Amino acid sequence: MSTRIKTFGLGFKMRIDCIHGFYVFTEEYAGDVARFASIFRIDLESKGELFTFKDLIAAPDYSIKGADILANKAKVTHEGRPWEVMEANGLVYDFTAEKVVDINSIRQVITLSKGLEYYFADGLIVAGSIAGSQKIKGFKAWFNFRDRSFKYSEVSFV
Amino acid sequence: MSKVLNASCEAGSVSCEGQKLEGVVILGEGVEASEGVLIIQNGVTYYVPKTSPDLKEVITLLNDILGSIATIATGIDAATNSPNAQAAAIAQLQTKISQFNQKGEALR
Repeated sequence: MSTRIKTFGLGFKMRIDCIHGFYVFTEEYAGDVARFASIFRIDLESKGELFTFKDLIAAPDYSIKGADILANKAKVTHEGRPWEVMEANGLVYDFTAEKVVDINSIRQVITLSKGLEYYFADGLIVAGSIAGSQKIKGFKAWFNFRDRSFKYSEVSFV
Repeated sequence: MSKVLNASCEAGSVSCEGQKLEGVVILGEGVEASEGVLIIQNGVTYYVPKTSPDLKEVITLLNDILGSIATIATGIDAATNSPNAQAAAIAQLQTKISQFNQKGEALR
């Protein structure tokens, strides 16, 4: 007797938004975020209604110039959504180092290939990476569970 | 959206979370040291001192002053030929006026 595993309800793609180095994971089917986290062995948690890296859960909605913000020194006094505060302070999350860093400290060079409808890159882009002569500050991407590829519908630069 | 945080002000310098901030719009002259709140909104920061206790003291003093005036006026009205009968009340009034002026400066 053979055993068949039903896969109904499992999505084949998941959306990933990077807003100035703040990553937001959105699942079409419940459990997709957990699947993604399992595949890449990362910690993703919910922050309100969105999912993000565990290290970004504490991202504040304000900064005081000179005070600590996510283990960095705030450059400005600012308030807004966490990614807006990070942008005002020139900070991004480097998931390879598992910490928030100055965007200018990211020196990784990547190849961003342009397709008919999407851009393609090898893996998930670290905000701050350099494509051509421009530094990437954000993007909208889709992860395909079937072939484990990333497709980028939008890419924004500094 | 705005953010409200506890802050303090002394001699026109506002501090929040251990940091002295520049370019803060202080609502009030901020002459006296005070505790208050820092409001961050649309890229502008404001400091609002918590003046409620001072305001209560000022109003209390004002009531006392008005009471003293009433006493003196009543005394004058009832006076016959006794000079300096209201001297004590007048001196008390002047003391209260001086205290009121000091509190008013601090409140500003």
